[in-house]
Amino acid sequence: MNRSTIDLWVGIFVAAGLVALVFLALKVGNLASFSAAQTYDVTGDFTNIGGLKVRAPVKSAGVVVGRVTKISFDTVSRATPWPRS
Amino acid sequence: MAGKALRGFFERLGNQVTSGVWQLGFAARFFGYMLLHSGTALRRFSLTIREIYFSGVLSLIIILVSGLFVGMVLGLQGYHTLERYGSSEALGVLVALSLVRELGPVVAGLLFASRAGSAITAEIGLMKATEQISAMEMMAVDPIARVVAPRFWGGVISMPLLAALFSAMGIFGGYLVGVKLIGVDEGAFWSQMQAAVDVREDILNGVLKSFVFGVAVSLIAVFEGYDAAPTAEGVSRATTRTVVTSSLAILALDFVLTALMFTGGTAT
Repeated sequence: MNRSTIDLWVGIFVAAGLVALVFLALKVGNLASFSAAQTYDVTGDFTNIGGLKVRAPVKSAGVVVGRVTKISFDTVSRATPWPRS
Repeated sequence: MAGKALRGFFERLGNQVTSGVWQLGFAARFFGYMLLHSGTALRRFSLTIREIYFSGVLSLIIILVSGLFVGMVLGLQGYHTLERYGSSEALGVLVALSLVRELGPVVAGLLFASRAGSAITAEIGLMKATEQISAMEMMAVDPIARVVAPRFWGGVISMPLLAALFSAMGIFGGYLVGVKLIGVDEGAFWSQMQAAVDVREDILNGVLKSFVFGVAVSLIAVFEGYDAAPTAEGVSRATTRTVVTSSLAILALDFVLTALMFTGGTAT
């Protein structure tokens, strides 16, 4: 087969593959919602977080304004759940 | 008499183990040598482009059609199961996650192994059987750099693109059946999917998986071809071995990769 025909088809193939990746990232994974807008850190203190997970959406008035970045156990104020014998 | 039989048994066992280890070592040295001599394949990139054409572009039809049908079946089956629990809007999540995480890389890898891997093995094996490989060595052309490495890199480059196309096509198939045919709400289909699928956690890991499968399948294909006995029977055996070994390798690697990627801590 002609060299330039092969080049053309490989070009089409690679472009289609990249389009599929972009489709997966934007339309399926919704990468566009992770905008680079200015955010700030908010720290919350809970007695029980229930089923909260890292990267869960943080909503204000129902609109996603951020993501949970880190969950950790507070060793200072809740170190002893029950008295030791 | 019993001692002799026992001795024969241990000899056979030992022979099998040593030849297995020898084969593994040969494959590892072959891999290392090929990586070291990949310079030609990457400098004269037209060699690799030719192989991307043969293993990637010519696999497009089977990958796209299978992806479409797998997605459509997922849409049908998933709808009937989800409907029983009153959550048929989650169809998009089901289709997208199962395709992006598992089915896309794995099924595309299996198809790639049987469509392109077997062809690579047969080609290299036949080149060896007709002494083209030896002829190249006589002309001081390194057959690993000139024949093997371009085929390997062509496969490695093609595989992630094929898996992405498979997943995208499958999601389109699920959309066709779920939304257009059955009538799941279109907004819920896409928005629930977008809320549940994470770009790094799911899509990037899926691409990584398909890359690993691409390396495994291409390596097995070129190695089996290069290692084939230079007869008609040897080539046919090597082709069969390529398909069997790479299918098993894909499924085993998939288990290991899934265990590493999707069970650690933050996965939902």
